[in-house]
Amino acid sequence: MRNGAMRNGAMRNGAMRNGTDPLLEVEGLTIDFDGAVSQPGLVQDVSFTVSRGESVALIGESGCGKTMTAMAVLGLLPAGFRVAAGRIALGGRDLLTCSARELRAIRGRSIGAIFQDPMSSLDPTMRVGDQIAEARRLHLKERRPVALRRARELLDRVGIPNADKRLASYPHELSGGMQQRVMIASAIACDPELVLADEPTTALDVTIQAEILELLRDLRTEQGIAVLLVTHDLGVVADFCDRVVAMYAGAVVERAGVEDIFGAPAHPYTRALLDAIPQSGRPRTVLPVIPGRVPPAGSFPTGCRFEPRCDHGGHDRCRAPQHEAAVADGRYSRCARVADGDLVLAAGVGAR
Amino acid sequence: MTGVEEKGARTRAAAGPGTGSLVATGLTKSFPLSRDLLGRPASRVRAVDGVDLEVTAGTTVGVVGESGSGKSTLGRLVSLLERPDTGSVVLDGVDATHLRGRALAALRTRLQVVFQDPFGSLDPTKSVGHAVAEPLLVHGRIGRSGMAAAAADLLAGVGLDPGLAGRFPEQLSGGQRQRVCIARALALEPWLLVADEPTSALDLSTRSEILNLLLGLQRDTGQSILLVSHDFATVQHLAHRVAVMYLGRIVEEGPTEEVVGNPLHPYTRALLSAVPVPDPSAQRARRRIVLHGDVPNPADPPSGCRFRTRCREAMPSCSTIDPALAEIGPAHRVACLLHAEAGTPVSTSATPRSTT
Repeated sequence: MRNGAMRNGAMRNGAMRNGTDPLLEVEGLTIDFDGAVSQPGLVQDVSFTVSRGESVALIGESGCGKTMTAMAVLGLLPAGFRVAAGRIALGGRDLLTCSARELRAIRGRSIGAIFQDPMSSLDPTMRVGDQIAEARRLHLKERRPVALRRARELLDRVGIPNADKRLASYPHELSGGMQQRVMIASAIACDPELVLADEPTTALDVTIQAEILELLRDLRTEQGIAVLLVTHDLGVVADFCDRVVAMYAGAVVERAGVEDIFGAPAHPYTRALLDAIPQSGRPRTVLPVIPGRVPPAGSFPTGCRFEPRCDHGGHDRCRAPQHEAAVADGRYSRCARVADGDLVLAAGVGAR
Repeated sequence: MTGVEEKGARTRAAAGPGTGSLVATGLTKSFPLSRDLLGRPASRVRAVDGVDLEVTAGTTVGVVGESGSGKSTLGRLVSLLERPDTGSVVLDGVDATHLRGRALAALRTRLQVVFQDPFGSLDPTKSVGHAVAEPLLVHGRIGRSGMAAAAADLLAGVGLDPGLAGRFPEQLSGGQRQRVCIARALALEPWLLVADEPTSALDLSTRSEILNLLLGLQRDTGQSILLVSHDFATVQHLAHRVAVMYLGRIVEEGPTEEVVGNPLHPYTRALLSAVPVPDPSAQRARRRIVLHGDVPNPADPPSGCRFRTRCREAMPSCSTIDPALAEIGPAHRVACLLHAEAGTPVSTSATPRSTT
């Protein structure tokens, strides 16, 4: 998988060619909630791609639809939620037309998942080794001793010392960082093409976070695994990701390469998020805030969803529904004013 | 109340003037890890092991460290929620360590705590207005009839719509709930606010709102803040001084800019290098100092320097000598043999690298 490493190198330099080798394609994804009160468009017209070996961040505040989008990719939407429109494809295969049985075969085999809290994702009654081996026994029909041997290699791979001994440990006997490594080991047990990581380091200390990101980075370069990372930590995005998909109130507001989005965001929401980061050179100064809060699902404005909180709102164009427009090569913004060149946002991190 | 005054008169000279100054000296706290047949502790873990910490009136001191470093226990000792095994907590000249009964209750009004989880610290069955005004009622400052007016004032003070007073905690967003917790903590006009991870459960945009609120409150009312957090951005933004804890000890302490710009303890340097900066080109040019292994078992800390098992610069003497915090720069203290003698130049391998 050396070519995976080369691809990564090329992408890190910002030379991303959209659609050159798309692994995951999400197109026009719309999710409705059909319950007592039906809420259409909780996630509205979300499109992005993740190429092989690439790392893409899904960012935005809580309630913006990041996790919902990730769950749709896994085919694990909670009861009542339904994909109303759009397409999700992995390696060209349409996931939305798959049966539950086919989806089960894809989850854990082609897509590995890592969640924020390892303790609630790991089975507390099952030894670590069996938990990792389970995926291989299930998906690859390996016999237990063979799968356990592989589990041992995986524990080595994710940097758990004394792998032989650890195979027999229960999750609660491990530290938080070690538990997260076990999660990663079981997520990559069947050599998936894509790992979906939802806030994988949020509950961890910064030192452990750095190690986990390092491990994920190695998996990308050595095995060409693509990572879709859901996070609200922009430091992690800057460190780890090639491209960024920013979501607000269920819609993608901006898509761009990581250098571009940090250097010169093309949507007022992304600009506002960057401005909210404390700057190390300016301690104890008042930080810009985004007034108000994300509207509750179901009461999104009909025009631009960010307009009520936007510094640059109040124009006629803001009142019309916004569409994603290409503002540069590989860059998309859902702000009509930016797309028309009517609004030019400040460049740089902490420009205000 | 006379007890407070007497004690205060006795210790005031040592603590100096001001409101909200905190002097913690030689604090230790251990918890039983296992017990024998008779219920006596068989082994104990020292969560805080000989900590001296000072918060000057009107300033913010940040305490950072990994989980298990004892920073939250230190916060609980300082906020008088736990009694230290040894050592003293002197708040504004009053030694709080041995106070009991009314004198302790009176002092408690001067010291309030804000916790990480704003949901867990609010009673879901009580309205927001009740939650914020309750401390005034409990301490007899107002009657029930005065609660609505007091609640409106307090909510407005933290930038919330007084109209929210009738709502219940579950109807509020995380940021609003944290504001309610802060309003409640401020009801009794404390001198010292102990904030344990006040921003960790919050979104980026909400975090900046709470940071602004804490900054503004300190500017307006001048209370001291002890900020316990693993979120380095929060500490760096708010704190005048920062203390870095490792396995129950403070390993480095000093003015925030000094510690961040010129970290001297190998642990501080490793910790800072692990915090990603939100700037892709800058972040990717940085080199991280890799710490090997997990934090050792606090019940059985390494001999000598507690950090030596993970330290890249450990020397043979580190396993025998337990370094004390020594002042090596203006108000900058470090507990490391590399910097054992104040003013002595350290070896090149220990030259601090820039973190910017």
